[in-house]
Amino acid sequence: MAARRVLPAAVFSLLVVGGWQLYTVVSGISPLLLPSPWEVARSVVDNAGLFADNAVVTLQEILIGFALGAAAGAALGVLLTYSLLAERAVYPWLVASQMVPIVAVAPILVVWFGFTIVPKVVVVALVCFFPVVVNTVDGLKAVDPEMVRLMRTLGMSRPRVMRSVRIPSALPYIFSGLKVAMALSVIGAVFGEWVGASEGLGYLMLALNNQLATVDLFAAVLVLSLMGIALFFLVGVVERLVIPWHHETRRGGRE
Amino acid sequence: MRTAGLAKRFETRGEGVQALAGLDLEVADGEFVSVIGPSGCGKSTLFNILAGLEEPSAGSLQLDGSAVHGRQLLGRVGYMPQRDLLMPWRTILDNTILGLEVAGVRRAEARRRALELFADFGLEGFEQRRPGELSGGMRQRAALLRTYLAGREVILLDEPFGALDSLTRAGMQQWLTGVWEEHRKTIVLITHDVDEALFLADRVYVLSPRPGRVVLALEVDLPRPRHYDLITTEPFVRQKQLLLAHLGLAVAPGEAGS
Repeated sequence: MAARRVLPAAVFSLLVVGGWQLYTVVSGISPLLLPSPWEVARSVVDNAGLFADNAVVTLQEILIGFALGAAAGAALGVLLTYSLLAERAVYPWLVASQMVPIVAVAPILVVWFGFTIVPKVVVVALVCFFPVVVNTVDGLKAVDPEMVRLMRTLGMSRPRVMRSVRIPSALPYIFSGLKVAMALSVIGAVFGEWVGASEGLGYLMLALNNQLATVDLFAAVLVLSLMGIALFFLVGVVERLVIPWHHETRRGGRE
Repeated sequence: MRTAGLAKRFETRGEGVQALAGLDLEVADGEFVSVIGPSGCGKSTLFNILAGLEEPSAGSLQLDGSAVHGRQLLGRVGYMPQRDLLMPWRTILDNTILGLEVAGVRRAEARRRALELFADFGLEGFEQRRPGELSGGMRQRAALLRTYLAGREVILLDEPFGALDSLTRAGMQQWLTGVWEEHRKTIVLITHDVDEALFLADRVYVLSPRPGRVVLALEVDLPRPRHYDLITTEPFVRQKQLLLAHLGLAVAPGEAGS
C-alpha cells in the first residue's frame, strides 16, 4: 500500500535526476553552467556544516514569520466573518495590501529594522497572512446554513456557534490556506535575506552566486527545497492529526 | 404541554408570496401528528415557524397553553431536519449530547444519559465512531437521538427519512413507531410520503397547495402497537385513499363505487 503510493514519485524522480546526470556527462557542459546532480550532492555533503548553520537561521525566520502570519490571518478571518461591518471596512484593504509588491516593501523594512531577523520575519508573515485570511473567511462562510439553524434551535448562542460549528468546519479550508502559506513562506524568507542579511540560505545563495560557485549554489537551492518540502509535509501531518475526520471522509468519498 | 397554532400566515420578502393562509394545527401532549401536502405547500415555512426560526406574519402560536412569539420557541422546540447534519468532527456519542451540552449539562452526565438510550436507538457499539463511518439510517437515528436528548416539549421531524432508500425507510418507520410508543414524546412529522404519515401518526393534517391551509384533519383509526404489515390492511388502505383524495391524487372512497 505504502509502496504503491511512493513508487510512482520515486521512479519519476529517478528518471529526472538520471536524465540530468546523463545530459551533463554526455554533453560535457561546464559545471559553472549546469553542475551534475552528483556534484551537487557531494557539495551538500562536503559543506554540510555551512548549510546546516545557515538553514537553521532561515528555518527560524520561516517558523516565526509563519506562526505570526497564520495566527493573525486566522484571527482576522474570524473577525471578518463575525462582523459584516468589519468585513466591509477591512476586506478591500486586505486585497489592496496584496497588490503592493513585497519587493518594494522589503527594503523599507530593512531601513526600519536593520540587518536583524525582524525584516525577514515580517516579510514571511506578510506573505503567509493573505492565503490564511482568505481561506479562513471562505471556510467560516462555507458552513452549512442548515447546520447553523439546527444549532440555533438547540439554543446555541452566536459565539458558541462560531466556536463549536463554524471554526471546526472551517479547519479543512484553513489548512489549505496554511499549506499555501508554508510554500510561500520559504520564498518570503529567502527574499527577506536577499534584501539585507549576513546569514541564512538566501544570503548564502546570493554570496555563492556572486562567486560563480554554481555547484554550491545548486546545493544551497537543494537544501532549501528539501527544507521547504519537509515543512509543507509537516503541515499535512499536523492537518491529519488535527482533523482526522476530514481525511476519513475524503478517503471514503473515493471508494 | 400543548401547541395550538391558530391561523398562521406568512409572506416571503419582496414578492409577497402567501406561503400559508390561515393554518390551524393542534398537537396534544404525547401525540404524534403528521403534516402532509404537495410540494410547495409551505411545509418548510410552517416548520421554520414552529421551530422558532421565522416569525409568522399573522396568527398566533400557543405552547403549553400560553401564547408565545415565534422567537420564544427557539430552544423549546426540538427540530430534526431532513439531512442528519451530524458534526463530522464529533463522535456519535458527542453528537447526540449537543443539546444537553448547550443546556449546560456536564459532559460526563450528558454522556451517561445518552448512553442509556443507545440501545433503544439501535446505535450500540457505535458510540465512538464518527458520522462518516455510519450508514444513512444509523445517522438519522443518531440525529433523532440528538433531538430527543435535547429534551424539548415538542419534536419536529422534517422529512427525516426522505433521503433513505425505501426499504431502509420502512425499517426506520417501524423502529420509530416502536420508540415512540415506548417514550410517548410529542411529535410533529412533516412528510410527503402518505404511508409514512398514516402509519406513524395519531392525526394527519393534509395541506393544500400554496397558499397552504388545512384541507383535512384525519384522526387515524389504527390500533397500537403498530407493525409495518399494517399498511396492507383494509382500514389502512381506506384511510390512505381518503388522504390521497384530499391530495387530489385519487377519487374519494364514497364516489369510487359507481
